[in-house]
Amino acid sequence: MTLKLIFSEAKQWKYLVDTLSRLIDEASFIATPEGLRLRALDPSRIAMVDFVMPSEAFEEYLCDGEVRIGVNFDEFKKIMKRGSAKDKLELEVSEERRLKVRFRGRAVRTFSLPILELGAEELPTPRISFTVEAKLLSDAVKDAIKDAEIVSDYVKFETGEECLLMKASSDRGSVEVEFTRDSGSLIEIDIKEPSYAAYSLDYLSDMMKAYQLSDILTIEYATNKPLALTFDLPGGGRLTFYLAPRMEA
Amino acid sequence: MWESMEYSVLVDVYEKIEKTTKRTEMTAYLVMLFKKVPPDIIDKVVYLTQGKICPDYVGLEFGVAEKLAMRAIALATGVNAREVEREVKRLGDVGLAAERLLSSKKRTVSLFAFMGEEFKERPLTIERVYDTLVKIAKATGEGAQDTKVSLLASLLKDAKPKEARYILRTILGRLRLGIADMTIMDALAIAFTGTKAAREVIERAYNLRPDMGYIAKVLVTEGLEGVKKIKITVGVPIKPMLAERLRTPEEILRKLGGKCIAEYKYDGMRVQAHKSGNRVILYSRRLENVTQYFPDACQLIRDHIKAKEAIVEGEVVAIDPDTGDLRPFQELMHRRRKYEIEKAMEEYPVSIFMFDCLYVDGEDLTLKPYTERRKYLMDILEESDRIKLAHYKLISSPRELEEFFEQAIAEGCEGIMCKSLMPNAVYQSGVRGFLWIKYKRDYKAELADTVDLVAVGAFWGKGKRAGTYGALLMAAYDPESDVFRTVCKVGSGFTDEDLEKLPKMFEPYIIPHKHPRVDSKLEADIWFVPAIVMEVTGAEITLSPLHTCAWGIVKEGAGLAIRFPRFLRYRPDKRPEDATTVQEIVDLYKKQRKITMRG
Repeated sequence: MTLKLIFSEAKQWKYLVDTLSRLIDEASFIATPEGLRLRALDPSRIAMVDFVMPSEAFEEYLCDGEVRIGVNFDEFKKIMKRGSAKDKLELEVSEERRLKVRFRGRAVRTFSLPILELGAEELPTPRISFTVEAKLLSDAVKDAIKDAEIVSDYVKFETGEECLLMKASSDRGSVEVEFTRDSGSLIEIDIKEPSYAAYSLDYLSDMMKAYQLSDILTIEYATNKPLALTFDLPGGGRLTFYLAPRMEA
Repeated sequence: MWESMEYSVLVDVYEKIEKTTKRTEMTAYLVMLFKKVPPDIIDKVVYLTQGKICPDYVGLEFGVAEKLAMRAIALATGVNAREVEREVKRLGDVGLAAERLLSSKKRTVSLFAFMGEEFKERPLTIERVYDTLVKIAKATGEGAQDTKVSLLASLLKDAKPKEARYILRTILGRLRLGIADMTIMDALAIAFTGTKAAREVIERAYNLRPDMGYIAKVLVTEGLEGVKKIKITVGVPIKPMLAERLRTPEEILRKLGGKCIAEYKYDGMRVQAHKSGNRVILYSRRLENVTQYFPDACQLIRDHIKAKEAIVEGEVVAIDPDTGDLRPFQELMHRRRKYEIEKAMEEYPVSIFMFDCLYVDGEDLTLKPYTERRKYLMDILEESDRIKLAHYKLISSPRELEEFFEQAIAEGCEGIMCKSLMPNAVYQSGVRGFLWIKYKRDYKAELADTVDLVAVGAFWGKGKRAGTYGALLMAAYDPESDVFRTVCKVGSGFTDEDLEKLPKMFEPYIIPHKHPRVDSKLEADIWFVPAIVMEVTGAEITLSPLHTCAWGIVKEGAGLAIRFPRFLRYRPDKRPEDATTVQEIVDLYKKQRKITMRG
């Protein structure tokens, strides 16, 4: 089984791996001729990452079967951080089951790290009928989360008249952020029924590190159900986070 | 065949045991538990009831402090760290805080709740809890803290609120159920042989191999016959043989049949050295692995014990690097640190004085008489100025014994050890007997001997001592019923610095009520788990209606108490079960009366 992938912008992967490493310790990328994917839960099982990148998104994609690449994200992140703006990234699985990470730029730099043999159990994604779906500007959402963190550890998502509200409050104070089409931050919204749910800001702010990967994100949720946060990646890839709600008794 | 058992079964037993103070009831609960346990996990269950994951001598610690535990709770419940901390402060117990937070409806749930039937939370099994605890303990090096937190969080996430309480108490070393080794041995005997009589065989095996989980496993799989076959193993510490004490050379010689070998009793630390090739492990009297503190002593053993495999005993003593003179025991405490051992080795070098040999190259010597064990020792020991035999002399008269004693004191020793030359003088592992008798320096007009007592409670101080303890409630050990009986309140002998440190030092041992293994008529302001042993001296032993030591033994309606007790020093090398026994206090009381009557 051979695997060799070339991605034209190492920087994209740097952001991707940095974001993933905030939520998961160890997980396996699964490469098939169709593309690369990864699905994993954070250790407390409050959050899930679901990542896919089709073979077309790569400059070169050689894979003749199913290859699992288990990595420790702490280690993987340290290596990926070394990629600079003009580098190309090459990922290769060698005969002796090591992962080679090669940056092609002013020099050819090749790292090699051990591949972890992790459990092969494949997770399903949560089964939820979302009642709200909204497309927003990533950095507007990122800012709203920063605002909410000033007063609380949780943020409540609510629907209004063709708009989405993020509210946070505690004895320290309160904040409300309104996303409307008029203000430009809300691109599309589809509300099947009025919905509200609260989520941990710690997790949301870790997930929002992915704002550098995509200008636009999609938020889906339903009352007291998990939230899905999706970033569309260049070349047809997709990065979705699921986050369990905080139940209000 | 593989069976599993839910952790909640264990939690139910913990709760029942916590509610009783009667040892017989504790034993009965344990018997019921042990009978239900699938054989292949009996060792894990035994360790967990001890609040451990392996015997102490292995030295595997969780390395999880309160801060780390709180991070895990935050992660598992989705409640933020500040709120967890508030809850811990409010309830005064990390376990209770986790229990409360996990039962709160207002919390972040798991994604599993939205992923279909096969992801419904499965109940925690004992194996899963045990195996995860082992992984937590074994996580070391860079990133270990994060690994520990996420492992603990994964366990808490699946735990029922009450299970979380006990998981956290276990990991923080605060299970505090009050179950003594004796109780576990009784319960094992009853559960697997039907009678408490087998306790003796189990105890003997435990002395030779102090690993309760291992012994339980052997008992379950091979029966009592298997337990009888448990032997001394290089690398596994055995419980040390202990000495009785007598007050006069005459009494000592009478007891030993007119002659004995007397050896200097150095004021140092008794160690058991296990050598296997180039590998040397040192165990303290309490069977803690102290190898890391004494690389120099290890090197001495490595170089000067001429056997491939051996278990030898000796006293490690601090010496003055300039004069070679012996220094007192306290100086050795400078070596009890993790860092800068190199520096401590230079400032506080040590010598070893060897006195026993328990095993040499495949041969178990514990059943051979002392005279013969010494021959083995002399055979394999290549003496140098830093490692030699304990200074000794063959004694056959009280005058010789007294002279040798004076000489020992003059050279900075605590006293002498007098050892039987009889053919029956085997190595009585874990037993205090008259085959070895110590003769220690008198504290002048005071008690014939100092006593080692266990702190079981404290009283708040007043005036100058406001904010710290005014006095500690001290107890002697009663091995028959495995309880600690009070014998005095100690308030003097402490330096200001000692006093200031008391509350902090005892903080980890505080419990809200009298410990089930403590027998006291006095109501202390604060109660402790019996853990800290102190050497105490006093003026005399008197009858007392307030203290429970030897209650009704000397006189009906009275116990024994020490008058004018004074703190001398801490004895971190002693476990509470190594404290002076009630019988020894009675003996001291009787001897003191004889003397008074004679005088």
